[in-house]
Amino acid sequence: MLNNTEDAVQRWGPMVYRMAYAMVHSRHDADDVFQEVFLRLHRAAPQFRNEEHRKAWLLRVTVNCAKTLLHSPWRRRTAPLEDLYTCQDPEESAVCEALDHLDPKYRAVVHLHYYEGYSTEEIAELLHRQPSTVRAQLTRARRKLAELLKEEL
Amino acid sequence: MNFSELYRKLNDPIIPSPALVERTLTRTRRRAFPLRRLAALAAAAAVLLATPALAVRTELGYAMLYALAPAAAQFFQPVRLSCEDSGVTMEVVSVHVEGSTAQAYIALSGDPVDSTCDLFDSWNFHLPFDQTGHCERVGYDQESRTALFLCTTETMDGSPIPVGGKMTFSVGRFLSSKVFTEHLEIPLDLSTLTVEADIVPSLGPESEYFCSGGSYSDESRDLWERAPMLEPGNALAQPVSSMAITAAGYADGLFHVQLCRGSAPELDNHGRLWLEDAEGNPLYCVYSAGFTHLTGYGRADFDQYAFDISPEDLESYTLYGDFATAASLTEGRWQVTFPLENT
Repeated sequence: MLNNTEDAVQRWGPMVYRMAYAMVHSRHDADDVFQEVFLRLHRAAPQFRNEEHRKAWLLRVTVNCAKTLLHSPWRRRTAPLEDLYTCQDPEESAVCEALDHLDPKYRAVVHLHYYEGYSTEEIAELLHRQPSTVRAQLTRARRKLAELLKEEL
Repeated sequence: MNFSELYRKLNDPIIPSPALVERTLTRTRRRAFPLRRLAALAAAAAVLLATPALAVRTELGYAMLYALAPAAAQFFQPVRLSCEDSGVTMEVVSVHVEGSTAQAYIALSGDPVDSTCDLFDSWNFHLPFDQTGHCERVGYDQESRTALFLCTTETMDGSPIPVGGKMTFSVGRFLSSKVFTEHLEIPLDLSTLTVEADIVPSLGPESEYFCSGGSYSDESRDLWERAPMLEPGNALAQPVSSMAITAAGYADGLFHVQLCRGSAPELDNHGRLWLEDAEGNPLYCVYSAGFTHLTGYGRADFDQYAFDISPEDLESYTLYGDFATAASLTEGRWQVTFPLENT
């Protein structure tokens, strides 16, 4: 079952979509990333050792696809859609706004750490980055968020 | 509530829509490669692989070989560090390879090149491995009229860049003399536009106008699918050179504004429109629809923005827009091939 696309979409679709949205901050773009990730999974049909391996592959490809989309010249020319998820209360709105000001690469590590629960070492392994790079990015992201939110995290 | 809990609470509701899941699964079900096409490609590749020197001499041969066997295609592709066409020169400046990432600085120089030079989605990477990549303009030298682009590629699986590989970077056209205008107030008296607009048929490619795309949310997709095309008329306003508001009015209970942007594939003129009240609060469209008009004489592209606002409220709003225009399109064939090793 580990190379079945339909099963992967059902099981990991929400995770992929949240990861994509965390980086691109647009439902429209997150839709594009979501489709691209699962089409790549379908085309590549990698053999996964276990469920964790498949999960990590999907997260890494999502981050790569989101990065590609964010750097796409076409995206820069496209008028941004007003398609953000709305926040319900002022505290949530403040966090949303602060996250919006973060560089997408910081948003990626913030999401992997705070939502997916990965340690910096695990994020480094997942994204093929140096652990020191991830630690620095997470520190900078926290500092920037703290400045933006005017409070210590 | 701490940040961690807040972040989780914010993200929990973010899930793919059932429609998106269905669309994705439908596409994967359609994805099976047709056997006949595969057989034809395999036969072509067999011929080309038997005569590799011939294969790389023709663009078609290279493209076909690359489609089936990228590593073989790149292996036989000769190194070519500079290329000139249409009075514009492309040159490889430097290459840096580290781990799973390779970066190359590519210079484009010549009279049409300026500081706004935009490769207009015409660039391509060809590499002997599965990769993600991007290309961005990182500098410009006025004196030599040279724009510098940084091409970055990463292996998809995070493995190191294979030793001995070659990368081909190609560009087919670029835009220059681009002008960006932001938050421009458009001199249009909206109080005179509260009447029903005239509509023209736009049901499909056989109509004089046909819908060529648009932007919509899941909620407004139904509206977009039956978006009416307003009959274009003389310019009601011309916010920037080569773009005009050619119609505005009510249809299906929504206020529509039509922006004509000339022939989109030529200069990629584009923009976006929104309304603002007296306090500066924006009102964005519920959807936008693109329409194309093709005649024997040429092509015109229109973007239509649909706003959910009553005629009574409309009078207190002003139309605003962001615009991007270009004055020059240069076409040619620039292609460089270089080894993926540090220079």
